[in-house]
Amino acid sequence: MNAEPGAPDPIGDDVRLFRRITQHHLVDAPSEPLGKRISSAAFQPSSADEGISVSLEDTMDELGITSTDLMTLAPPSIGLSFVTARQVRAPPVGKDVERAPTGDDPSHGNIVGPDSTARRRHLARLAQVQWVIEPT
Amino acid sequence: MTLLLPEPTTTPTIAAGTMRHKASSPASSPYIATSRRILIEAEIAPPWIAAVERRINELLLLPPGWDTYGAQPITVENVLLALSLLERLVDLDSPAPIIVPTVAGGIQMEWEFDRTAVEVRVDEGGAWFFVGDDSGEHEGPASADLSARAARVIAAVPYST
Repeated sequence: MNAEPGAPDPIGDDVRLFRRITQHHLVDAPSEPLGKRISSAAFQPSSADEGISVSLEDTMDELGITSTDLMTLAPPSIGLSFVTARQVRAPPVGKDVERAPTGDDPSHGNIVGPDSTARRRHLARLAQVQWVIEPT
Repeated sequence: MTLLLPEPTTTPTIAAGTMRHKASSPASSPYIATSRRILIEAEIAPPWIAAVERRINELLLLPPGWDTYGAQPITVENVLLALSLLERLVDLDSPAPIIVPTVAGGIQMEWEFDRTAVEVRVDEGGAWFFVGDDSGEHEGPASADLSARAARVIAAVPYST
C-alpha cells in the first residue's frame, strides 16, 4: 500500500533505532556476558509523554549522520544502543515508531504506544549496545 | 526507619522502624549551595545502606537533561518516598537494590535475580511496582499486595557478601 501524499515515509521493520544510554542506566549484572545490563529506566518515555526518543537509521543514512555524530550531540552519554523497528512492534513490546525530526537531530523519532514496566524491561533486554565510551 | 528532612523552615520527620534518614536542603547546608543531599542515620540497617546513601546523593546532583533527552533532575521528595518504600521491602540481610535515576525526576530501585525481579519506581508519576515471580509478572501503583509480593521476592535471596 502506498503512503498518502505528504505522509512521512513508512519506517521499515529492519530500520535500527539508536538510543543513547548514560552511565546511570548501565548497571552491574555479574551474570551477563559483559557484566553489565541496561536498566529498564533507560526506556522510560519522556515525561511529556512524547515517547522514547531514538534516532532512525534510514534518515541517518540519507543525511550522512553517523553513530559518532549521535554521541557528540550529547557528551554525558557513554553508550549507544539500538533496537530494530521490528522488535519494537512485535510482542511482547507491541509499540510503534514515528518520525519526529528536531533541530538538533533530523533523524529523531519516538517509540510510541502502550507503556509498562514489562515493556521497558523487554526493550532493555533487546537493546544491543553499539559501543561505549568509558567514563573519565 | 526514620526520615528527617531539614528544610529552611521545617523539619518533617517520618518515623517507622530502625533506620534514620536526613535530607538537607541547600539553605540548611552551607557547604551545599547548588545541590541537595540525603543523610541516612542508621543505628540498625543493612550493610549496604551507606552505599545507597552515596548513590542517591550522586543522583541528586544530576542536572536537568542528564540523560541527553531532557530528563528532569531528581527531587528530594521522590527520594524520600522511595526510601520509605525501601524500608518496608528489606530486612537486615536483604540484598542491596540497584538504584537508577528516572527521566521524570525520581529513582528506581531494582533487584534482579535468576528468575525473579523487583522494580520500584518513584517519580512524578507516583510510586510504581513491578514484580516478576513464579506466578508471572505483576505491576501497578504501590499497593499492599505488590509490596508484599516484592518483599517476598527480595527476602528469598539473602545478602551474601
